[in-house]
Amino acid sequence: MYTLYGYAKSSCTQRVKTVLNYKNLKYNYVSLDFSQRKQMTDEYKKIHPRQVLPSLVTEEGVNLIESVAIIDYLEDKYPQNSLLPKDPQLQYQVRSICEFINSSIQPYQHPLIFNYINSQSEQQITWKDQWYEWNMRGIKYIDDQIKSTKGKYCFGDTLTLADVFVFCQIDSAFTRFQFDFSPFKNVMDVVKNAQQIPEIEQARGIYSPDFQQ
Amino acid sequence: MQNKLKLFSYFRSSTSQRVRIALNLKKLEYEYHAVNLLQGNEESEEYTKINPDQRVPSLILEDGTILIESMAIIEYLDEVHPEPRLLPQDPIQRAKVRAFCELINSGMHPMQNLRILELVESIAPGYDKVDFVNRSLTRSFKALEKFVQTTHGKYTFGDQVSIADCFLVPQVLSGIARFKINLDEYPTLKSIYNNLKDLPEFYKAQPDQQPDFK
Repeated sequence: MYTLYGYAKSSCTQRVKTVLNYKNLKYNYVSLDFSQRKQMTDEYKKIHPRQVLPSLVTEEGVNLIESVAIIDYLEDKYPQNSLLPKDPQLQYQVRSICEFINSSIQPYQHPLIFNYINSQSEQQITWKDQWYEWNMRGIKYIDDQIKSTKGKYCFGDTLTLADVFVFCQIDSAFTRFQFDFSPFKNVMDVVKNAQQIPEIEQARGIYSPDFQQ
Repeated sequence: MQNKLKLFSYFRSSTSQRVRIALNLKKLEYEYHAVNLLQGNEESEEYTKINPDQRVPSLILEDGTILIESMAIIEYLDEVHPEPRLLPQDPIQRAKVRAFCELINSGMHPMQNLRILELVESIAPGYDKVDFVNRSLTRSFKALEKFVQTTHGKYTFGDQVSIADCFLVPQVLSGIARFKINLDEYPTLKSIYNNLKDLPEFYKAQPDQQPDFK
């Protein structure tokens, strides 16, 4: 059985949980509360050299890291209930949305940014300000991108990883800071439809055993 | 007449450099279209039509399809032009190669992107950009050095050039050139980098080999 190291408030963990659920794969869950720096142990460093979440350890003890890479592995190894189109151009389209969220929205939520700014400036910003800036900018971009491709989901009526990544990003930002994403009608339509999928709903941070408000 | 591949790139952009390397490795010819990030011709309407987020790189295919996001672009190229393969076939190996790329793509490069530097400048004018980026990069380079201990040969993964090398070389170069990274502190990465940088496909993709180099 796989072991997933993650945390309730980690959108990256939520992405992997969603795909594990969707492919009916069982796993043990080990919670590492990053607000308490529980991932900053030597033991976890052996699993993930950068000590970030999530990691997925296989039964054979292979350490898989980085949510996009983990999810691609699950898609490669378990073709059932696929979330990635086979056609190279469609596959590219799905990946470009996932990569955008993974590298142009989520990383900019890291507390090191607002901590650094506040150490350098009299004008202070809050972590919420920082999340707001990057989420609004990024979600607007995605909203524009999917205008011409969406049906129920980002790409027609077929659920893909793009929907998983979009859902996890919106859900985690909303759970934490209650941002109003309603102006982004395309994205919020996808979110509403994706939430009807039980495996997506079940992977939400609020249902995780380690969730605290 | 067949349209050529068009690459919208900035000479110093490490994300553009990744795609330039991959195109060279795949022996794909392309037209180079320079986008000036600093002078803001990137902001021009023309480029906005191509890439609404106004970032580089963009790759325009022969049929006019526009590709963005360097990781997604290179994976697409690997699918449709499989030789030479930049990603292994085995799922576990693929996951390791992809993980290395993502450690850079989402774990390192975002902190040196012009957008974040401008945002910090707007709130904390005159802050030390190099210090800001160096702190983040140092932690990540240490992690990369640890990661490659179990994967490297001449290159990041054994003796075969892979997409991981397309990500490593530009990140090392920008780290050394702009953010005071001392490669001597990462001897394995240094050895891999030295094996890669003079390969023609990598050399030709360097910032100082591009038409818009200043």
